Amino acid sequence: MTEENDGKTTDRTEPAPEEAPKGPDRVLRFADEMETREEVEEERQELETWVTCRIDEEIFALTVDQVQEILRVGELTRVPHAPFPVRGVTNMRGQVLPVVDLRRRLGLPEIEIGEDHRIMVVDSRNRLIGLLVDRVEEVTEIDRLKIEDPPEDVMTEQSYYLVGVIHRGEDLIILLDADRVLEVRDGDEPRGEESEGGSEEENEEDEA
Amino acid sequence: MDDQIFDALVEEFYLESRERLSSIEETLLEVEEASEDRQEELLVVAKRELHTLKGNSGMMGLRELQELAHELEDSVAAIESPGDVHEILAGVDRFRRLLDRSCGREEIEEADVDEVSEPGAGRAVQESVRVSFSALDHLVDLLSEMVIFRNRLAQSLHQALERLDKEERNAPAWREVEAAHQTLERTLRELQEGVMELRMVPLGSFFGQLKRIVFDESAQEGKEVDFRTSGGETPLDKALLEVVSEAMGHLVRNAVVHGIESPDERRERGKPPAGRLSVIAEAQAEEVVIEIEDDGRGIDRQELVETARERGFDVGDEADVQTLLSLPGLSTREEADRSAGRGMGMAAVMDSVRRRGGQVEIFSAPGKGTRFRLRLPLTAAILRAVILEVDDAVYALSLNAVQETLHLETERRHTMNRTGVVRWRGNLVPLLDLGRFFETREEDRQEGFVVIIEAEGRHRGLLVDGMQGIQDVVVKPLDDTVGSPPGLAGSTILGNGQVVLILDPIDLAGASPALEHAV
Repeated sequence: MTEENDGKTTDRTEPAPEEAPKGPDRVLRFADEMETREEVEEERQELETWVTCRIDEEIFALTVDQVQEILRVGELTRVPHAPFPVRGVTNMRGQVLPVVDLRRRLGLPEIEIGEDHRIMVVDSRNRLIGLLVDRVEEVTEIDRLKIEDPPEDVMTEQSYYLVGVIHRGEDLIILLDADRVLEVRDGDEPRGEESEGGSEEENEEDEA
Repeated sequence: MDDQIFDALVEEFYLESRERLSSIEETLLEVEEASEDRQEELLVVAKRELHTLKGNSGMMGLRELQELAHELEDSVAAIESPGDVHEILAGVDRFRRLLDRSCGREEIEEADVDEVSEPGAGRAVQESVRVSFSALDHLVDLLSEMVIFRNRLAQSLHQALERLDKEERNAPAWREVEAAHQTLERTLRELQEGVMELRMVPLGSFFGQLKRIVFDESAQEGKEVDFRTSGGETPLDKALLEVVSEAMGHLVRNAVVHGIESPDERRERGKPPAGRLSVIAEAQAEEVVIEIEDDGRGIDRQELVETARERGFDVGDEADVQTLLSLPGLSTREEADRSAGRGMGMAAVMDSVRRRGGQVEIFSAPGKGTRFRLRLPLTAAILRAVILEVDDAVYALSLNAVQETLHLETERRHTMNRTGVVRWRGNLVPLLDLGRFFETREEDRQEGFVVIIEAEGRHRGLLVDGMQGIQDVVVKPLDDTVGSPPGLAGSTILGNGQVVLILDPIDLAGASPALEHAV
């Protein structure tokens, strides 16, 4: 953890003593400065920034450290016989980006790609992979110390992909482990292939 | 070893040694200012580099250099105060001069000032630059992008011109655009060839290692081997050489260990006691062909079939050697052999070559010998491809694999064993509907084209809707997330920005149509 929020309020008028924050830290710093700091001083927090996205009524989040950018969905090329969660490949400025469908990954029913769909470009295991989501909501801070284990009744089968959950007002945010979501594992075999149905019958025609 | 190869080796040794000397120099120079801990680290680095120099010099048979490096290594070990590095630096200079002399550079370098403008004035040191492969790869990437943009430009230009009438099209401004575009295309092609050439290394630079393998293995196995190489000057993409050198090392080792019989056994069979093993490389128009041939006992196909079955593979009696050797973990020997067990298995060899767009063909006559033929593309990065339309999708297929395209309507289609076939050049070629293979349709199409492909000696007629023409495409490998689905070799981006999958002709030619229906 690089964040050091406690007792830093007095420094604010001076130029930042440590080196200028980069990437996610900058977002964090910006967020810090926007808000009143009263709460910060009340109790110890370990703030982290996450990006939330929505699938149906559920809110999922990925850590901002791994999200490189968010793309509108361009043309997706289907890859026949690819592992099931892979929805296809797309062109990201000359780079061929594989795209994993979060719905497929979590075993949720697939829907047609619409206006709100986005591809979150995730840096996972030193390479970029796209994650297709219904919509991206916001960049938000959560307190690491308040992350809970997922409730048992929620998503038992999917718990492998989860870091945990966190409550925010009425909402429950489900925190995803991006590396696990994007890795291909056993059971990800291609699905829904007619040829496996084996409707072929034995009917030899011309015998050579 | 022929002169050309030897020259290449000397060149390689020379450049590498110069680079090492510079790095030793830098390391030593840093010592004086470094903290004590760091000093120790630096000296370890310098010692290691000198040690490598010693080894390399010895391998080149340059005794004087070897001894000097040894001496320097010792003085680095004996260093007491940071000031002592100066003495060693002087030694490094001595080594450099000796290196120049040993590699025949001395005179050239001095004469260089006058003669540099004269073509063919010997290979002066300054004429050669050591460039890292990552820098070259970056150039290739940039170039690849340019090829994509050129294709896009060509497409939009074509569309724009189509909308004009003849008179407008002949307007000077348009003709100028067209002429400029043509020049761009030509220049880009030359640039492409030039950059690709930079990545080329002579195959022979690696023959020395093969010789060593043969020498070591035959001594170990008590065999006599007459090893010959030819075509060492054949250029090969460095990226391919890495794959190929490993594959060839394996094949050569295999030939000595398993292929060639012991002298006694050979005499019994009426063969000369020394086995013959040859590696012959040849550059052809679109590919490099390397043949590795021995006159040993050959491959026992029946034995392979039995082993495959023992390992639980479902193979037919008529399965060919090629298919059998592609099965993972199949070796004719029971015991994990000392040599052949090392490195990659035969299946991995074939796989690694195929992944780079190459092919492996195997010819074997029991009792007479085995010949492996590796067919490799000239470059690994750019592919001349025909763009195929299949239902709503588009695929790219290496033009090299395409033999001919036929109209589906005019061909007499037959059915054998539930597989469609066409008669082509006197043979029956099985058909494969790409739409069915890729699950975009359920029945074979009745209209469109048959693209006859050949890969590793097998033919297949691919059923497609149409063709969008031929273009150079930049091969981009598929990410591990996507894996290596059957029938696909990679991907590329067309001029319109669309990602298109590149077909794997070997997979498609080899895919058994009966197999898809089975299970």
